[in-house]
Amino acid sequence: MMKKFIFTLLMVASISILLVACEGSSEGSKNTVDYYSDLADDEPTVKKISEEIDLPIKFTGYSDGQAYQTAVSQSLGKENSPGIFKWWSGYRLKDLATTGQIADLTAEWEDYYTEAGINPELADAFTVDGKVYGAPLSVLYNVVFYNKKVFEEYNLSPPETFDDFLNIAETLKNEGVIPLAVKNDGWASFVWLQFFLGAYDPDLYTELVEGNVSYEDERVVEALSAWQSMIEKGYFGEPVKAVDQTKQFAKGDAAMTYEPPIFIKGLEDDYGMEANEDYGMFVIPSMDGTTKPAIFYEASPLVVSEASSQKEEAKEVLRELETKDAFEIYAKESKAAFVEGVKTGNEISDEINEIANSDDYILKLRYYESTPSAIVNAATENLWEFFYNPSDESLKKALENIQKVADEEEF
Amino acid sequence: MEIAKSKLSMKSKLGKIIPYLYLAPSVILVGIFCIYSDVFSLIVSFAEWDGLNEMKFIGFQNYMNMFQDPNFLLSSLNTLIWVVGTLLIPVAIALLFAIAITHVKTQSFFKTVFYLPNALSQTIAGIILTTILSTYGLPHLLGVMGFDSLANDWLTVPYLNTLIMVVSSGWQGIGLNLILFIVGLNQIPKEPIEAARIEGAQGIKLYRKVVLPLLKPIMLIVLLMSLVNSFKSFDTIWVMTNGGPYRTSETLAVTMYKEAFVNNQLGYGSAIAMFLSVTVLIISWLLLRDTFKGEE
Repeated sequence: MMKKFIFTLLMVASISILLVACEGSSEGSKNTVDYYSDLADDEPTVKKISEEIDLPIKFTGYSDGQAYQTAVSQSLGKENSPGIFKWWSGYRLKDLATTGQIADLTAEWEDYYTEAGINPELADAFTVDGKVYGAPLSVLYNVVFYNKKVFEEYNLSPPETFDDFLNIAETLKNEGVIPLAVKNDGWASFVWLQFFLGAYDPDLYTELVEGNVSYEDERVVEALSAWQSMIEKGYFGEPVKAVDQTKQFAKGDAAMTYEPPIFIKGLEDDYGMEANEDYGMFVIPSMDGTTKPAIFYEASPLVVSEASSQKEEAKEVLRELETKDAFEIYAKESKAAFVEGVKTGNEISDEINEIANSDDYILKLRYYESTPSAIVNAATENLWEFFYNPSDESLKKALENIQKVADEEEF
Repeated sequence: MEIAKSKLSMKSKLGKIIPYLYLAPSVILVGIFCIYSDVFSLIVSFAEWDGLNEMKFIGFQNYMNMFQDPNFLLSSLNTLIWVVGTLLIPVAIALLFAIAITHVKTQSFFKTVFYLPNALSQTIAGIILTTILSTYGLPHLLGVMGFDSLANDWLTVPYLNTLIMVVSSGWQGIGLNLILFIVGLNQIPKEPIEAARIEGAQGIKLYRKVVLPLLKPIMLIVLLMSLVNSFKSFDTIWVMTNGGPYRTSETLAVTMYKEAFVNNQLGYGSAIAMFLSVTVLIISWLLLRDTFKGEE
């Protein structure tokens, strides 16, 4: 009797385990739309939007961007894939769009988003072969943030020329302050490639990411030699975790860092810093002093999974998210805005948005999105190796290795 | 009479089926999650595939690329360092501690103390250690104390970070091995040891000639478990360095994951997975073959 009971118990347990393992993640009510994002910190913001506008959203945030890309890519093509998910523009979007696994939102733009006041020009960043596959979530402009207290202490002011910038770095280094804080994320080395190429010649950057110029071109080498010289002079801090980078800046251990406006959130929430009081921002001047300074931006779309059972509900939810009301909430919480008339309430962030849309600067899409993913992967690894071992030889080797990958890619 | 016969035949049929039903859950689970995945990975390892587009078969190209890839070669070397470290720390130290603990009265106290780190998941232990070793952790404290050369993030220093991670992972692995060794030592019959002592064997000689040979079955299990775990090392590395800086701290398991799921080269990642699986399989077979021989 006892044996039979144990046998039955074991059978029930094992069948349950199998069923649990085989079950999909189709949890929640029928109308709830899954919203996946690698911006795990967006959870309270998305929750606030869904509560205030009454949207049936279930947010799932990933704190590891690589794990996030893997999870989303592997879920596509299946009914239980998330209705809405955050993605990247440029080549990363193209990679998905060409497989046919994300929904065409061209009609949604015409019928709803533009009507709701979203700038139709933004659709260009999410267009692949004439079809629009994304609805804008954020546009983040990269600038140099500086600690005002540190600058005041050493009588420094934002640079007007590239030489001014080098002098500031030299002064700070001599005073024992880290001139530029660097974060050690695996992907983060490419921001310095765009930083120096943008300051050297924004057109050269465009030619490079479009595959028209070699990474071994002498102009590219010259632009990045400025980076090498700055590393060798000790103008860059040791690469640290993102939280430590914020701490270095807030404590005044580091005076500057190159980041998008979402960096402000950590400064204000964790360290109580105030815009224009404790920190300011500037755009890096061009090296020749005559070219307009370049601002690099990252445009992140929200995308709908074509095969998802939530596809239609997801489109309906997106119509509500692509409105000024929703962006007002998002801008205030994330400290970053891009829609005309929408303010973050943060002077610095609103100023960034304003100057980026003025004619005084050249806007360029970030390296991560503007060149094929395989080249980005090769570049991030090789540029880190160069950063840790800066020399003419290591720079040459890094550029050679990136070019080898670029030679095999289709642009 | 007829009914009794039919009942008997039913019972005998059921008796034949029941053993298979006992086996079924394991067979189904192993079939779905191991064998099917292994066969699928083997097929993918001969293809170029990004997981989204059509699979394109390229023969042995992935395997040929693998042995020319400096990242793969470095990660193989790192894996070897992990294997050696895993043998030195969680096996050798655990054995020494186990021998020491069996000589004291408060065995349970020491067992609990040494087993405690094992209760933490590798991920949580990794996060704690990353925080301790980061710029504003222990290095900062050492900097304040005047050791300026030590005041940097140790986990961003290539090769030093691998050693730190091996020690960290080894520290966690000591607990379980220690318990197994203590169980093994306590189970050794007293008679051969007494006989050896009467014959004049003492100290290291007693352990080398009598105790350790008697402990061999447990030692083989511990060795096998540690070796397999060291080849699979992933969580600690992923949490503490992500394989960086510039892929210098990757092991084969991390390289496999990065190539397959970060660089979207599922074919190449699968080829590394196959290499790793075959290596572990061969080592396990070599070790287990000796165990079975011993039993025969």
